[in-house]
Amino acid sequence: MGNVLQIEALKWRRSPLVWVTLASTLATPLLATLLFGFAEGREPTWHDLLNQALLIHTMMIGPLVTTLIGASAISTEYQFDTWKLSLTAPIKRWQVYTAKLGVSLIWCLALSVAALLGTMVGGSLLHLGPFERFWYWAYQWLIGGAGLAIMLPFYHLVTFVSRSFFVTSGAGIVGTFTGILMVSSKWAGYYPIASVPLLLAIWFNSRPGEVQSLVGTQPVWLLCLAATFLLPLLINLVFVKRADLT
Amino acid sequence: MSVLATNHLTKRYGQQAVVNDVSLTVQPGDIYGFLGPNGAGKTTTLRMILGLIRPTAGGVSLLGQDPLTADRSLFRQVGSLIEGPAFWPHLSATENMGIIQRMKGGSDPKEIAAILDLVGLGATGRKPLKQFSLGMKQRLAIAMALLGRPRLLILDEPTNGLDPEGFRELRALLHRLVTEQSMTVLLSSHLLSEVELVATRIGVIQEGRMVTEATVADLRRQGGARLEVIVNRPDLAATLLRERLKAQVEQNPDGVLVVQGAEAAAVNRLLVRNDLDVSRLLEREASLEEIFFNLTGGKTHG
Repeated sequence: MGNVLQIEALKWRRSPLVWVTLASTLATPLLATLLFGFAEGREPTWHDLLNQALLIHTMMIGPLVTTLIGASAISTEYQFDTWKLSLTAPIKRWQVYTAKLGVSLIWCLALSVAALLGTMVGGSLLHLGPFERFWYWAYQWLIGGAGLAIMLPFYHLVTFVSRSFFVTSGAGIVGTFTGILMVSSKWAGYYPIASVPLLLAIWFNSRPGEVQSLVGTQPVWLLCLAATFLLPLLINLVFVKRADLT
Repeated sequence: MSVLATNHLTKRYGQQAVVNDVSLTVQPGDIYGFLGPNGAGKTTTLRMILGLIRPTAGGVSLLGQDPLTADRSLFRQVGSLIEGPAFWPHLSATENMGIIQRMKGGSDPKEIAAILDLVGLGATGRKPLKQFSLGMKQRLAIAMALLGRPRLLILDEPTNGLDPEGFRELRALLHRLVTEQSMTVLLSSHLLSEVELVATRIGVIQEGRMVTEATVADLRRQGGARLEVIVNRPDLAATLLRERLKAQVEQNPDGVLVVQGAEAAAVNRLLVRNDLDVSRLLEREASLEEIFFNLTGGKTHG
């Protein structure tokens, strides 16, 4: 399986997808830094900056970038007709797909780390003083990245069915902006794209009153998240094994 | 044991049978020419052979195993180029080759360099693929199929985009692979002129059905001998030959009669007795082109 992951990573080398998603992700620290840099009458702290950046990343930039990664990982194989190369190789079909998912997940997490590091650079430029609690924040951002990556199998599924980058991207854009609206709803816990900041709110910045006003409980939301990840993953594995992909 | 056999292979999309009851056999050391007009079902058959799509009925024996259920290591022994070249376009030729090599369990850069040399792309390994011509892409796709020294090489329309020199080189390469590396080749094409120069056995598919499968020599024999007759009154001669000798007669635009199903002596005797001047009577074998034309009902192109 390690070899198959390496092969998938090689396909991503110098891919436009890598540069586009990295550049988009770095918009997060840029936006957060600009917001604080130009804020009048307010003395920003690391905590404020990182919280603001995390919100931008998990609610807006991150979901869009995740959509790009999910759509592109599958649609490029259709676009360049390269499924036939992978599917006539001595590799099992489920491994081909699992490697794709694995590299997509790793890249999502890496982008979250890149966004955190970018925010730290931005904070340094704003002279916010010595940085503290690095591992606390790194953990929080990784959780955010994982929360975003939960959507990958769903985006893969949409791309398998539509065979189109644009259909999935469109779904992702609509989903992201619906998520921004949904996060203030009491049903937010059940909306997977908005669940990331929700999870973070619960785990790290818990404001009990706000959380208690939501419909559902933490185990139920986690179960929904798990189903959001596992159900499309299962369908994708069966689809890749059974379907005529070429 | 055959290297490849299909057994009543059928693929239907809805009510339409794209491939219908196709049985073919490729023996070790063959260069098997899989011929048929565009849209005859060649690529669909090859895709089923490689397990890319599932047959509706029938089965495939690829190196003695069913490609759908066999261990995937089976595909280390099969190289393929199906329906045109495909690459990861942001990578170089060498990097594309590297990915396929890794998929096959190898990692030797020397093998990549040697195969690129073999197909005439030795100097272009690091050049971006977007700068490749169609012919170069085709050569690269053939090179990718050759990685890992497969026992069976399946090439679908490999001459698309190749110039005559490229085709001549491909022909020589296939002969070398078969004689020096004991490879077996299945080569599909819609152009008989390409296949007859290289193939040892030929299968012809038409509208999803296998029309014939034979060695080139047998196929020529199937075609039978023909007579070319030049006579002063071809219309009358054609009528006489049809009515008296029950021969099949076609008249070329240049007035030459092509006669099948009659002896030369009988034709000559009949025409002379009816006061016709026979200025030429030539017996010759049907060309493979003519045989293919007859088998496919005249459709050599889609």
